[in-house]
Amino acid sequence: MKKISQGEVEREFQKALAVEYVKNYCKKNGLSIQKLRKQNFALCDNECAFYVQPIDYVKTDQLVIDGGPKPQVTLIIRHEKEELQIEETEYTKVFLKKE
Amino acid sequence: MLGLLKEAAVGGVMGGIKDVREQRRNTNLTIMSRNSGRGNPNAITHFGAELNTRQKNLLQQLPDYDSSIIVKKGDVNLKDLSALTAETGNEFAMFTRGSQRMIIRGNSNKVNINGSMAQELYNAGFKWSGHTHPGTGINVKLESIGDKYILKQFNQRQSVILDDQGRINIFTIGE
Repeated sequence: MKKISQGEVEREFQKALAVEYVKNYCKKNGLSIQKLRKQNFALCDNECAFYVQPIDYVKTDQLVIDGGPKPQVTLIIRHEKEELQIEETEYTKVFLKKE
Repeated sequence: MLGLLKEAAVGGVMGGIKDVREQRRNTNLTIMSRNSGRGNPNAITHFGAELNTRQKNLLQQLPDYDSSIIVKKGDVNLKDLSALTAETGNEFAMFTRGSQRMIIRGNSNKVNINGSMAQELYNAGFKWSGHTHPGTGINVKLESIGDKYILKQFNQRQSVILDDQGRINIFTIGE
């Protein structure tokens, strides 16, 4: 049986909550929830983000700390003044637009 | 300026206080001088506060890109690295082996540790504790492809990234 850490479970749960929160926003703005679900997710402090990383980067001998293509953030949820705000980035339409 | 304020505050307290208003003012000045924000990454970024003494000593030993030092574990923590990034705009990476910590200075967008160097450090018993990125916001604290690749060389599943305000993101890789 695959062992899953508590941290992993919590991250999955955080991501599920975030996806649920942006569902209506995505519907209204023509963004794909399916695509969003497949993206990476990070939460720190008062904000969380969905992001993509190019997976076809093969020049591993040239990779150093912070080397290679940078992650591209597609959608941010921010908690400010007791309110949640959704923020798009330059990559939102590129990676999340419905086909 | 700060020294003057401190002197003024101490002088006020020691010299006898004539009225409550003056006492309050002097107390506030004393508190201000004690909470200067020295060594606090957030204060360095936003208010131009100074590094604290141990951070200054660390920076003296890490003058250029690619310079490195090994210090005792208790002599540096990740918050210090964040403060150094706030001060210099450069990245810093930290590796831990028992009671030792190795710090390596990078430039504004990378630290020069590649796969084979990472494996050497791993074979020597080091773990990758974390590294810093200049700037703030969630996009600054996300891991790159390079970070994931280097983490694999250390046979670790997670490490941390701090921004120049000392805020942390724990990044992980799958098995």
